[in-house]
Amino acid sequence: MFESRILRKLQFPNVFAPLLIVFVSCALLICINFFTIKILSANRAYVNGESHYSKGQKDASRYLLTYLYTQDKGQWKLFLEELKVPQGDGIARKTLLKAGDNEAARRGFLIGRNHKDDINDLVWLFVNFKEVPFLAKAIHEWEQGDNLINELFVIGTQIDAKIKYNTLSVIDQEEFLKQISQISDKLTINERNFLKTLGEGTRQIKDLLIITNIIFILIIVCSVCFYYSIMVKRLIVSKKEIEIKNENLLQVNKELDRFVYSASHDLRSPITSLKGLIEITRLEDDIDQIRNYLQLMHNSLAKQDQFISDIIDYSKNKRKQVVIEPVSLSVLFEESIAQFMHIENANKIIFIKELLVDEIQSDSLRLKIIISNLLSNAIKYADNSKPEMFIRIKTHLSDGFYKIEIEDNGLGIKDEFKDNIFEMYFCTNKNKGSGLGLYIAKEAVENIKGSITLSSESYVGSKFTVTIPY
Amino acid sequence: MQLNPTFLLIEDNLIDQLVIRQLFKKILSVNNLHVANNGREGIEWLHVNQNNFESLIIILDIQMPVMNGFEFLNAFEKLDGNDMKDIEIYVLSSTLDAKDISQVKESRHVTGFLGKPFPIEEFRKKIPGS
Repeated sequence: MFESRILRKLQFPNVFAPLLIVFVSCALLICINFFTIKILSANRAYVNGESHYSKGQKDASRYLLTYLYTQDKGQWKLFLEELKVPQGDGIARKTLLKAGDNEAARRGFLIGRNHKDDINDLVWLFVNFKEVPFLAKAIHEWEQGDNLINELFVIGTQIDAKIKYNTLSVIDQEEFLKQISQISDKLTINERNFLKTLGEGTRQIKDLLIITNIIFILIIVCSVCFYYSIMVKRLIVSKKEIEIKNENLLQVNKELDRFVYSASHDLRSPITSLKGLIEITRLEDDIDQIRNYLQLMHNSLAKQDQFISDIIDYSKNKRKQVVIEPVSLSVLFEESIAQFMHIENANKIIFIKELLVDEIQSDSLRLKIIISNLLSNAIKYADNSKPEMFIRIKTHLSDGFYKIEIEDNGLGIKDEFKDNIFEMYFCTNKNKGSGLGLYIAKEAVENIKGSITLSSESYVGSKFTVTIPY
Repeated sequence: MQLNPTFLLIEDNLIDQLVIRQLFKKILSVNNLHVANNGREGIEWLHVNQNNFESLIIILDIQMPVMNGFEFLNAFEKLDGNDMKDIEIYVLSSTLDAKDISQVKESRHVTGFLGKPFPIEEFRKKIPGS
């Protein structure tokens, strides 16, 4: 009982560890998936932004070229309009690098024709992951692109100035055309690199995501299986415990049934004997015979009284906690002997005491029950046909155990009864005992973790040895 | 039924033995009551005395050490030729247990059940001739 409680305490964390692992794993999985999806969504927004960026740049270049050759003011305005798209992105990049999340950057992204719902993801990714290699590389490409856009803008203003002041020559036109196409080519390379870097990053994240998902799902599955197996084991263990308890209860119930059955008989039988004695006393005239009957009545009542105190001992023995305290064996022997002096022949018995051990650490109630039952048996079953009746009481310490020996030269116990004498209600002569004494004595010995043994020879005598742990 | 049956009391309680012996002596004027202290002694008595009686009335206690009343009835069943003899068994007990009583009454060898203390008047009415 005590051990299993300790065992359960040890198992306690075991049961909750897998649950905790499952809980933490699930939480981590949710977080990782959430952030990964956010990163992927931001990446998509950047790819989308880049397409507006490069489209704006390409269209601006085209309008600038048309302006260069047609000198149509409308084309100039369109050039400025389209160039604002990459410029807006450029402002966003610069301010984000300098100040983190800010209103100007968000406005820049909007000018860059990004969808307003993507702005948060764009800003979030930039601010938090700008140091991450793939994003840092992409930002670097972007910066180079922005520089080229700046160059394109400068060329645009130069062209516009020349057109305004009518100083644009055919040679200038060709020179500008060459510059514009060079910038365009470089930008195309930057834009491609930007996309490539983002693409690589996205693929890496995807791979990582798949691996972490698999790992976490495996952890969760394993933990659940582990938890399940623990619970099943515990169920099996508790089922067994319940079965054992049930068995014990059935046993106790049976014992109780037998006890009630026998007790009711044994309590009633002295009363019926008494009624019978009263009946024959009525028919008797001889005063000596009547006195004899009165003595028998007294005996009958004494027997019933003894039986009741046996039952009380039995119940005390069952219920009362074992209390280890100093107990004097010699005092217990004296008390018991004095208590039994009224038994027939008791005064003819010689008591020999060889007490090598007197005070011991044990339970006084149990010792009293044991000693008084063994002594009363030795007295009751004395053999008065022998010229000298004796009871020898020995106590000593051997092999780390206290030994109490009670030996007599009484009637002895027949071999056929030796296996049964400690059983409840086993009795060879109901006139002398209730059949409870040795049963209670054995229970008492077991209560203090000792043992009791018997050696006896019919018509020679009996010796009971009680062994108590030191 | 013979006019003078032999009586055998199988009872372990010494006081009850005395009481029944006195009642037999004073009320039934039967001085020769045989006593066995338990079932086994009863069976032994039957072995030894099977030719010494014409009719026998056994008064049998239930709760006894060594061999109780029920065990005695089983052993009695196995005895040779007991059906030939004129044997009546009255079970005497202080039990109030209904199961015990019905078990006693079901036994084909049992003539009647008597509750303790020994009901001498009731018993006298059951045995004609005494």
